[in-house]
Amino acid sequence: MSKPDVEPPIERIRGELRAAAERARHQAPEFPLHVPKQVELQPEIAPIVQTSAHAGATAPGTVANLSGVVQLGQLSQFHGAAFVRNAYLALLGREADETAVKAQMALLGRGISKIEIMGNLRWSAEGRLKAVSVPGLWPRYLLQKATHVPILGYVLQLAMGLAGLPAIVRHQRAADALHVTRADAIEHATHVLDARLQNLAGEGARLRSDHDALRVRTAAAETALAQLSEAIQATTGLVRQSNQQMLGMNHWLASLRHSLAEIERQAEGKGRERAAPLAGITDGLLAADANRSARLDQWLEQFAVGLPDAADVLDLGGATDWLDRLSQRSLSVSALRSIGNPGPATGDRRIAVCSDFGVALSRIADESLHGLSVLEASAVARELPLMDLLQFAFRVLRPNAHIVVGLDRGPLVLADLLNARQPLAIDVGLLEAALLHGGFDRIKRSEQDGVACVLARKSSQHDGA
Amino acid sequence: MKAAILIPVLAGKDAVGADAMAMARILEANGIQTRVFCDSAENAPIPTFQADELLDFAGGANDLVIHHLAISWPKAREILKRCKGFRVVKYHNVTPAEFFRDYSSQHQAACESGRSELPAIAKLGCELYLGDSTYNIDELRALGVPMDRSGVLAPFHRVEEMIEAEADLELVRALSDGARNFLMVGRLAPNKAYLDLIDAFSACARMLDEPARLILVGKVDARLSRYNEAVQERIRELRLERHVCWINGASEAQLKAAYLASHAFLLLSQHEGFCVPLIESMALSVPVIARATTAIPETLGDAGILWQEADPWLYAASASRIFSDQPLRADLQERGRRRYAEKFSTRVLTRRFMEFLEPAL
Repeated sequence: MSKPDVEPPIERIRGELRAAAERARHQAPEFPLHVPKQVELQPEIAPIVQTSAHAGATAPGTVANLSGVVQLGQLSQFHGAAFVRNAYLALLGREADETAVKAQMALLGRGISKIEIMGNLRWSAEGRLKAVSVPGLWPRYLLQKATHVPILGYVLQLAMGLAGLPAIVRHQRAADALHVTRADAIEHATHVLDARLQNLAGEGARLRSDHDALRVRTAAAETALAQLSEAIQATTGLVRQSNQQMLGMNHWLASLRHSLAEIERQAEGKGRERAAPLAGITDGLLAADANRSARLDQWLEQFAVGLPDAADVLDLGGATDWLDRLSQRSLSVSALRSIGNPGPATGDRRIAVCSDFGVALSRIADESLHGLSVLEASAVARELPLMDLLQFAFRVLRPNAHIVVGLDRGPLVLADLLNARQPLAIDVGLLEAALLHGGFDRIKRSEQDGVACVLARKSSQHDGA
Repeated sequence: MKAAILIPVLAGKDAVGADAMAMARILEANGIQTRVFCDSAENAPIPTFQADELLDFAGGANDLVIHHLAISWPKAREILKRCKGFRVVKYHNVTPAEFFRDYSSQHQAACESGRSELPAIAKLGCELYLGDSTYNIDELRALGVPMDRSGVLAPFHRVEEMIEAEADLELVRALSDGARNFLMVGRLAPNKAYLDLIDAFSACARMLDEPARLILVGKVDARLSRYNEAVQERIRELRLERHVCWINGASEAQLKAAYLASHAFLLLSQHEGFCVPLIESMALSVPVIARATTAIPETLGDAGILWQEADPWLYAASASRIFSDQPLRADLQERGRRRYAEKFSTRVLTRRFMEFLEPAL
């Protein structure tokens, strides 16, 4: 979460930082005033000095001290192997190998002083080449060496012992006091340690108890996991089985579709054969209807107004003169006729004959058409009940799409009459009411020469219920 | 399908090695048999194979080969030419040779050679070129690598392993003595601009009214002795001998301890192809003050304070502000953690890596 009031963005404080930098440039001391404590990661092998000759050659994991000066005290503070290793690093500039460490440790064990060991290293052939400066080492080293001279050495050690006796007594007293103080401190530390151990024991018991509880919960979780795994496996099996079944069903449906298409193709052929003799008669009858052309033109004007170019329009019935008019308006036209009443054969490729209007319409996608025309509703309704027609129309038409339902006497009605089938009588008022309640608006009736037709628009707000 | 990782030297603790090994692990985890081919390996926790054997293993049309390019290695070009499958070049950048001119002719020659191979690598027409950063991949694009065959994939790293690892608590304790700790992680090399770093730290130590320490975690290269001497001379000149704590070849525990005990990460480097320590700092909540060179601004984003200039006092003023301005410090830490999680976490990088390889899988 951003807190702009208390957390200024970097860009905003850049100016302040530049100003602070300028102030510091002029006011800061020449060198740092405060020095941090020295960090020694592994003091037993930390190099005391690092000269440029072996700079960068520190052992991995060591903390380099870059002071460049060797004092006696810096080396003599170490004991045993740490002393030997540091002496090698400081005076010879290299790590002591294990043989060297053992040899020098043996000398220390025989009572040889650290001064003598440091001197041996410093004035060895290798040490002379390095020539590291150790202030105060030379006179002390000489004195130590002199103690090895027979008789003179003994006298020298005796004299040194006698001369140092008062200091030895003083050191002895100081050591006694130090030991007593350290004994007290150790006793106190032991008590503290005891208390901590007791706490740790309590903590350990609690951890053991938590561990046991955790084991129980882990076991329960493992059981649940195993059950879940079994359930997942079983479900996976079911899903696979369902997949197989669905695949099988898909194949079956595909095969069914092929069969239906074949039946429809054959039926269409038969329908055309049957309807062929009617063509000439109905053409003559339609030509005799002098007002038909003007009527269709007027309905087209009302139906096509507002439809976009290349709008998809479906016609049920398929009178070719109506389809021609729609095509001339640059509409994308297709038509359906039923096998039950194929009407006169036309050879028009735009017209498909189907076994069942319901099945044919069910294959049309939702809201895919811009317009639907049914000019001979009294003939179509024999194959497709009016209510079903309106329901299909509502589903396949886009919002604001147009529909025209007419009671015209076209090729289908004429074919019905010639085949002694009486077209159904449709109440126009009832049709209007059905459209209104079926999700359509802007309902308009048009009558020409006693032939009625109803135009409507699919409402964009109706829920289709 | 088989996959091969091609790298001249596989080093267990090196950033390029970490990237290569992580890719091998991810491919294996996705069910693709994967091997690492190289000329030599140091401290590698996985088995490796001789580079000359790569073609027998993954030279086929359905195979995948990923070459990690960071130094001169003409052999890789010859191998890639003969591979028939999906070839990827992961470019980690080659340091410009001029950085080494005054310090090491050996390094200078190696870098010149590596740079001179780049045009030929770009012209190989590999199926995919990846750079650790836009800065890196733009170098290859300038040499003719097409945009639609190139992309940016930050290197895989060991940050999450380090977060999980145990720190060297002794070192944390020793460094947590009240001094302000500044951290720099990176090998001692001229392109890392250690001399500028020492100058900037000197300004920090002089400006702060409390002790300051510079923790340097990086390998010392004996072949760069002239540069090492120059750095030590600068430390002496500025009387910083007792302020500088150098950890040479740190263990993972020591590296984590250094991050945990540090108050700021100070970076003056002049050339970085990505800079993994920056994302380590972000993940471990160490505020970063850095110089805006090469890929550094791209990696750091808005999760630190960046300066174009090397003026030491700007870095000192930034550090002082970070130490005194708690909301600013918290904001930088939060931005760092968020940037790491969103851009550089292993989960994010793994997803991007597999997306890049999708055409080959």
